[in-house]
Amino acid sequence: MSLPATAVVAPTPGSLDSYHVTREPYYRAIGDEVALYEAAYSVRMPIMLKGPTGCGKTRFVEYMAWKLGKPLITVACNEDMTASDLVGRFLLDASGTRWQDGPLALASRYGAICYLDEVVEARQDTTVVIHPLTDARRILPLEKKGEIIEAHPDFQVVISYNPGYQSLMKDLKQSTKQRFGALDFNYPEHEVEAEIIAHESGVSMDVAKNLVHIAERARNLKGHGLDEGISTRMLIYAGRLITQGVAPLAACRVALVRPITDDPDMRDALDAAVTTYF
Amino acid sequence: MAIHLEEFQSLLDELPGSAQELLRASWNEAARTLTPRGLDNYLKGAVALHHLGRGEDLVVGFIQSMPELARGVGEEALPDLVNFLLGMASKTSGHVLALIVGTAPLAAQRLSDAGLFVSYLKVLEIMLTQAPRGLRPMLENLDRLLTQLTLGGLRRWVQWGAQAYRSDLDGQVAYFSLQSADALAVLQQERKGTLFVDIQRRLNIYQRAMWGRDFFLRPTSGDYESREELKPYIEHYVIHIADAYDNYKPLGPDTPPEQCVPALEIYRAAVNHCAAHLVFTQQPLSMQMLHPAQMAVIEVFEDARVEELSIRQFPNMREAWLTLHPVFDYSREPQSIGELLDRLGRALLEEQSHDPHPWVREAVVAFHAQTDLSTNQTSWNLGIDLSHKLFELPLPEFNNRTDHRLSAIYRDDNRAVWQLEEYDEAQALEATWQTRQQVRKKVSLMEMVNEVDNEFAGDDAQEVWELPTEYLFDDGVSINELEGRPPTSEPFYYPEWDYKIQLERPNWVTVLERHPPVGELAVIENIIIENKPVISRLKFLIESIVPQGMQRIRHVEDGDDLDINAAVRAMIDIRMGQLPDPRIMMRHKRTLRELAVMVLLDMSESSNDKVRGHDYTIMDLTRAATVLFANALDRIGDPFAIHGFCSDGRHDVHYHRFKDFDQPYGDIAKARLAGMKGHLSTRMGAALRHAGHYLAQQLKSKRVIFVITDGEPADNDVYDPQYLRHDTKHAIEELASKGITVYALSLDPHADQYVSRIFGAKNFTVIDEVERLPEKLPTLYMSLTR
Repeated sequence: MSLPATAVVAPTPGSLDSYHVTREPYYRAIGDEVALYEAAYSVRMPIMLKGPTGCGKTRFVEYMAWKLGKPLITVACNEDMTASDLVGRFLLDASGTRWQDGPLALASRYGAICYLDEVVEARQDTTVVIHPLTDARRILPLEKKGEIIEAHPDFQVVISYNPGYQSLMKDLKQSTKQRFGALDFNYPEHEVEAEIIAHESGVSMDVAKNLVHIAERARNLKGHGLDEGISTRMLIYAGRLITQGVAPLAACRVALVRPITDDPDMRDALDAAVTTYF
Repeated sequence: MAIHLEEFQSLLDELPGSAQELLRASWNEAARTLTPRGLDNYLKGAVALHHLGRGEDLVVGFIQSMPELARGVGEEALPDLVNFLLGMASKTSGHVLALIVGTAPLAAQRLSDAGLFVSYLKVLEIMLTQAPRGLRPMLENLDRLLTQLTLGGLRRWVQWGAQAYRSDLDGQVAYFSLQSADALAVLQQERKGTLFVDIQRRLNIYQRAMWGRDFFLRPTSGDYESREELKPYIEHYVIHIADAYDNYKPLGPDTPPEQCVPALEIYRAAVNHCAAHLVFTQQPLSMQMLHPAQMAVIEVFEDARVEELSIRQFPNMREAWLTLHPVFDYSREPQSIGELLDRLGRALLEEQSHDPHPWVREAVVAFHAQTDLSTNQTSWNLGIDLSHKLFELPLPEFNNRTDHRLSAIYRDDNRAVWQLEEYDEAQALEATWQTRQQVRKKVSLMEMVNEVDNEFAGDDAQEVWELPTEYLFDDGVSINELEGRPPTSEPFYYPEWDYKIQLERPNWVTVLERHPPVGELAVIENIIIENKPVISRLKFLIESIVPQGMQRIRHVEDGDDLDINAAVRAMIDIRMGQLPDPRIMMRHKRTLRELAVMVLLDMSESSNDKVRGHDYTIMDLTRAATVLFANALDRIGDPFAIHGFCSDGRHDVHYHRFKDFDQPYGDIAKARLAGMKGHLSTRMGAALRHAGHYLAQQLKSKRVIFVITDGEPADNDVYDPQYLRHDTKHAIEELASKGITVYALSLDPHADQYVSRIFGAKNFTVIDEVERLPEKLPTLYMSLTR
């Protein structure tokens, strides 16, 4: 069982050592996405990962960063994020003010893969700061500091987004979309998903298959009362609870059914679906 | 469209004065709920009751409660009730008859099905003949009785009381007024189990989750005399299921509570079994040349086949079904073929059957030896093979009717297994469900002259040709001047939700946009002058709304920019050796009013009614409210549109666009508002879908439709009061999934009963003081969008 290997150590300027992915993250390739990504990286093409939540987008980026041996800087985007949060800002210091590089500046200066998670959550005026970095220019102007960073040869931007649940309003601008190559992610095939769950949580293959069956029931309800089906990540959580000795029914209730819905009827129907397997 | 009371003058004259007065007062309400035929029945009924000579109470009660009854179960119930009252008049007093009429709406609301209402009248008939003294106390307790009992339960409760107190009149009264202990005991015993209506949504979600598709579930309307015969059945791909189940007691009435199977589990088992039939059957079997016993055996195998296939997908269904099968005493020899078949049913479902009967064992072995279960031909073959051996057993001959089979409660009657032999006219009619689309095209003048069949065809013509230029006759008069009508837009087709079949009828409603007529601008100016005080009050509210733009928040530790003043102050502190204030940043906050508003006005006939106690109509008020609202929106700067609708059947929903999002709120829009007139009906779902179509084009994060209406959805081609309510609800849910909120302002004081069901618990306001609508609307909007 391996836990996600994200680095969260505070940055020390000039070095991205702490951002290196040191252990090999578990990733089970589903198609040719690894080869496609490698090809895209070799020409430093920005990449967009699309897919529902918890289907392995972030894990894929970690795995690729490890495979390519490059540092990985992850930014979780949100609505209140401003351009300064990405680019950097002046901070107060004992000797005056001091410029603090933001994650994007850091990655482009020292050569890392910059991963903007759930990028549509950020406002459109924030996302445009990545534009000069994601076309032929590959530069990042720091207007407040009066500096232009020429991107390091190793630098690449990867963004992820979930086309499913955003409203019509929260979409990427065309000018942003067209700067990226896109890889589609989805929940894996039945057998493969069971294999992933068995590996990640340590449950037996039979239990893993039953968990996938339950998830497929919930995915049937997407758009019919559920905004999103049960993700692979949730199944792994349920599996981990089961390996901890929690009864399967209780584990599914806690990790699968209760988190995704508040609707009592929906909860009841899903609970009933769980009992047809455990 | 409007039907006036004067048309029925001859009938009206026959009624007593007070009834006439009441009828005039309630005419508007009645005319809105009832069709012309219904109104005719309504008045004739009132006259007939008057001729009974059982007092004015009865007539007055009838006039008062019938519209409500029609809203509950449809107007077809009216003649039934009148006939019932006429038939019963000789048996009871006018007072009791009036009571029956008075409680009819309550019963209708509880039963909400026309068929059930007729059965309810039959129960009253039993009461009248067997225990007439009890009728009055019973009707007084009707509310409580119907909340706790199904109609069948009520009937059994009534019969028990009538039998027990046949000659004890005081006892009768005590029983039916729920005073005596045994009345309560029987009531407790007859309490209905789990009602289908309460769990329908849960079952639907469950089915969707399990099978990945929708099945249509309907309760079998009507209750059963004895509770055993509650078999589900499948007809035309719809699963019909009992309207109530009790908890299942596998060991008989003495089963300990922990071993009882909850009624919900029976529902689930039943729908899963029926769904399995539907999923795993491609082609029904032919019943030609088959003996009833052979059919029964084939059915047992067919049940086992579809169940086995679903168990492969959902392992624990075996257990769920098995608990609902009766348990047999294997030491006993089966007495009939029916019993043997039940044992076979259980044995085939069990993983390891222990049934010692040689025929059952042989059947189980043969079934498990089958490799291909995917077609029902397998069941047919097995059934034929084994039925030959069944006939050799020393058992009485099989009779489908009398050979009582205990079979598991959840199993359907298997009518869907067999090919329907005879021609089914209803089914054939339903199949002609194609969308009938009118062709509209633009043609050249020569085509028009040479080929047009009929210049004066109505709107229902198969093809409508349009000539872009004027079509002039030889004398220079254009055809438009002679026959012209205002042009309509290209038709927009929208689906409509039919709650009975749980399906959208595709392209069911046609929305035609029309140019709104233009009125006098002075009307609008008058409104503004009249409402001066309101406008100046609103002004403060408008100004308090935060305008769109950038806001600078200073004094934050973590911001976008350095706040130079604060930074210098902090530096001075540092140089002086003091602790600096670390909050030297400022943050930019963008305030957005990301909002687009659609005001959708209900312009149906009813809006021409006068507001009670005033000489202006509801339409005048709506207009005034819209004008003030538009003024406010114009000043706040939120983009908005004002549209209106009315309908004349599903083929012609009128839609007027008074102001669009991209048009300024100027003289044209105002003049159109001034020319607004009310007529026809309220098909709200289609109008909402069309309004949503326009609003969806607005790229704003919040999109709101305000519907201003004075009644519930209705149209002249729909008689079922529930139909358009459900459709409107469905339209609102669809819009919600597109990120559009619908908010209703209802001017109907009785609206509480239905608006929350249609629009959701939070999205409506019922305006009691209609006069204050002009002020209410903008205030409400601002408080909602703050």
